[in-house]
Amino acid sequence: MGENSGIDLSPDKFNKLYLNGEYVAARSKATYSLKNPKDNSVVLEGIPIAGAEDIDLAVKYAEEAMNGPWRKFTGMQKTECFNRLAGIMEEQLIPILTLDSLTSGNPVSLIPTREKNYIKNGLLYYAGWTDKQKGDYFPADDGKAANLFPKYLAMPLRIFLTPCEQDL
Amino acid sequence: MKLVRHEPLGVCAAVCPFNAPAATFLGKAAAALVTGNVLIVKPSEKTPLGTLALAPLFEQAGFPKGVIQVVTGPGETGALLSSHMRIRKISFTGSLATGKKIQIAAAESNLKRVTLELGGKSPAVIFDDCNLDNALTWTINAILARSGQVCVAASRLYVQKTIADKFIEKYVERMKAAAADLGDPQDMSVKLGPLVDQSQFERVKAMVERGREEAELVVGGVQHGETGCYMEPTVFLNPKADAEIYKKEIFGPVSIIKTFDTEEEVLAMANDTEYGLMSGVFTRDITRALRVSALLDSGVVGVNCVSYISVLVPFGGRKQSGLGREMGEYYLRAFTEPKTILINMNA
Repeated sequence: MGENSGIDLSPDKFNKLYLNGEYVAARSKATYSLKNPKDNSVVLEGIPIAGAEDIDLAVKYAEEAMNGPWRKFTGMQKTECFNRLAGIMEEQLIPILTLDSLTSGNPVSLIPTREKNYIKNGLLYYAGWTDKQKGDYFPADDGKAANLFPKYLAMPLRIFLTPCEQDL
Repeated sequence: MKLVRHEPLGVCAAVCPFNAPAATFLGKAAAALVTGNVLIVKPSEKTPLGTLALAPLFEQAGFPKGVIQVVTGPGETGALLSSHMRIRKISFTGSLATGKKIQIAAAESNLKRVTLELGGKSPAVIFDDCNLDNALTWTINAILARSGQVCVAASRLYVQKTIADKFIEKYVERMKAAAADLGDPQDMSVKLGPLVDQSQFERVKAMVERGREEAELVVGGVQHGETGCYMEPTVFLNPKADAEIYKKEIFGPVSIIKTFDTEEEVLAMANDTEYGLMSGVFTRDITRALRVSALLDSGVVGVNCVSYISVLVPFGGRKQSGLGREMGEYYLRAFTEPKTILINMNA
């Protein structure tokens, strides 16, 4: 489906979960099927209904990913990933959106082209935010709090300090 | 000295809707990942295929494995995510009823952070000095895009009495003509598709059926053809004040029209709703546009446009249309929390 897609988009490949970088069968044996709303014909059977064990596994992998190399990615590395993803979308998104049309009923004539630009532009926009979340800085020289604090250190702070004075 | 850092929340979950599965997934993924989180995505049980196909492309782009994962299933799977003790954030786009369940489950488990992008019953207010063709084009597209299955669909139209006959005639004409655009969504020449599945179709059909008793049906109101989930573009006029079709989100190609005399009157009607996602005001009078846009009780207001989302600026609902904002810089705050660092400079 789509000459540039480079990936197999036949629906019957997708009766799996995508965990830790791989398509895997669900632990849960419960499944359901998908229909095309244009005629209620079956598109794919055996879509997993992920259960508690599957979700626990996903969370375990997610925590490992959170504590893995991802944590050390610089803003620029993330920006590069986003830019590459936007490029991949340019190539592959239309066949993927066309695949979704089989069960969403969204017309392929309008949605893929319109959505492709919207999605790609969104990724490029957020790509620029990776190194611009600067936070805040307040200087040390901020009046009485610095003098006040040692004096009341031993006392229950909430009782003695007004909201303004609680600022360190 | 004080520093404030925006820190990621950690393991986040996204629960996405069926009307725009890829756009919502990639939007939530972008905001979650740009801020350093990891994301488990559950697409709507109606539309999981594209999301499953997209997932490995993140690794192809250089994101480490496990940063994006996809699980499938209906509400019961979503409930496992919203009640999980080690998921720290859930970002949901979908129905009001499910949104409330998610927030309850989040609160009862680990107070995971919640953003909700829910439904709407978005008003378009059309004043007699507007560019009529522009107002028609926007309001028609606003209820027909994705066959009305859009959270920001302009489903309530308020037309000033001085132009009501003219506007309504043209609007109804276009809605009637749009029935001919319905067809096979996989056909490149077709502009208007079916509703997403039989259950949504039955829901919309039943609401429209009940609506016949409570408003004047002008066009549509029936299934299109004999097979599939096709609903004809439908227009009701002058609903009773508490009519279900006037108060509840229909999520189909169904709009309700009322007329008005004054600005004050139309603002009262437009804001008399538990929803507050989107509104539109159509006028060439700049001061009226700004005055009315300030008074319309919704997260987003379009001036001479409606049912439109820009990635640059916050998007989300007031009242029961949601919690929190997506898009723009605000989206990043939905996936981070500030950490304050207090530095004793005398040590």
